[in-house]
Amino acid sequence: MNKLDALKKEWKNQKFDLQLSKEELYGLTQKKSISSIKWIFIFSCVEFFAYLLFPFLIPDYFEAFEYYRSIHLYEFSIVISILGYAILSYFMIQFYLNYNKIKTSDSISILIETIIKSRKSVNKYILYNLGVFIVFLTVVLINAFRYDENYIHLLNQDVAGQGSIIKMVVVIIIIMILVLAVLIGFYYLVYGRYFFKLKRHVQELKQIED
Amino acid sequence: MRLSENDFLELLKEHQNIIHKICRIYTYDDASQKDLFQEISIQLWKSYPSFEGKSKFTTWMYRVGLNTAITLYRKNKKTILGEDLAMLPELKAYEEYDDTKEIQIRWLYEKIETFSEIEKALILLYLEDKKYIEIAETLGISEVNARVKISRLKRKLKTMLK
Repeated sequence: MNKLDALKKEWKNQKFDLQLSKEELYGLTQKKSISSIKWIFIFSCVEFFAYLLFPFLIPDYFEAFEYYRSIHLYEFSIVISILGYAILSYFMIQFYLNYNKIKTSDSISILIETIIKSRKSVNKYILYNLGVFIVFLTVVLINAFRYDENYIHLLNQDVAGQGSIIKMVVVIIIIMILVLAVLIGFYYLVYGRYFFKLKRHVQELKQIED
Repeated sequence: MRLSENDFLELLKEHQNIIHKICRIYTYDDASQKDLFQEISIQLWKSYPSFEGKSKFTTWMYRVGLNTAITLYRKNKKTILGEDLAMLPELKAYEEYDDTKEIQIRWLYEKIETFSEIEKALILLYLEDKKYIEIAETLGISEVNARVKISRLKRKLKTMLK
């Protein structure tokens, strides 16, 4: 018997001082789970609902539609809003279906893949929201400069050489970059390390297969 | 095969050493070991209604246990080497501690700590004498590659033993 086999034998014979009774084990199984999956699920639900409720938290949200009407964007804003909820439902269903596929009795590689896939539907939703927000803001600004007297006035002032539009555009771009930076930072803190670890496992499993 | 709660707890009690081993491999202090033990018990409990007896109960236990340790468990701050290990006399060569079984086991745990989380799973299943097909299915890799990877890990362990 070589050294490794001897060691293996010892390994198999090892005893643990702590031996739990059936009652103690049952007690443990009834405790609350602290698993990452549970946290991802809770966080993802919070994200969905935060985006869902966000418009209602803005005081002038509904009055804003009247403004959109004045700059010929009423239909556009209604379509974007309805589309927003339809897409929210689609991503929520996707997330839920993928989440339901997560089974701890799957192989390690399948489990990791389903976790990543499930989380991806939330990420796609966030990206979709950011994209729509940027497009919507751009369209509103373009039409505001065409139909809103105040903006047209600004444009005229600019012709007079005061450069206020450039200043405004710069401010808007800076705000957008800041919002993006905060969001990316937030997601990195919440999920970055965990998903980095999962991806490392995926790579390692792939390397074994290569 | 549907397991009743009582059967499940009976089997869990009988094979609890599997969980003890996984916890010792994947955590570095007592508190984390207890947390992980609890989390694995919860996950086993949650998934046993879907256990259909297609595989052995222990094979299923390794799978859920390793999955929990590798992907589900939220680790506390890593403490570098548990105090128990730090208290050990310095271990230099295999022959020097050959007479004490417990020290051999501790030496092995200490070496396993240097492997990646996926390699730890492979080593554990190898030490537990699992078949290559079972190891492959637990990790989701092919049997051939499981065999190749394990022989590499065995070689690495053998070098450590010299």
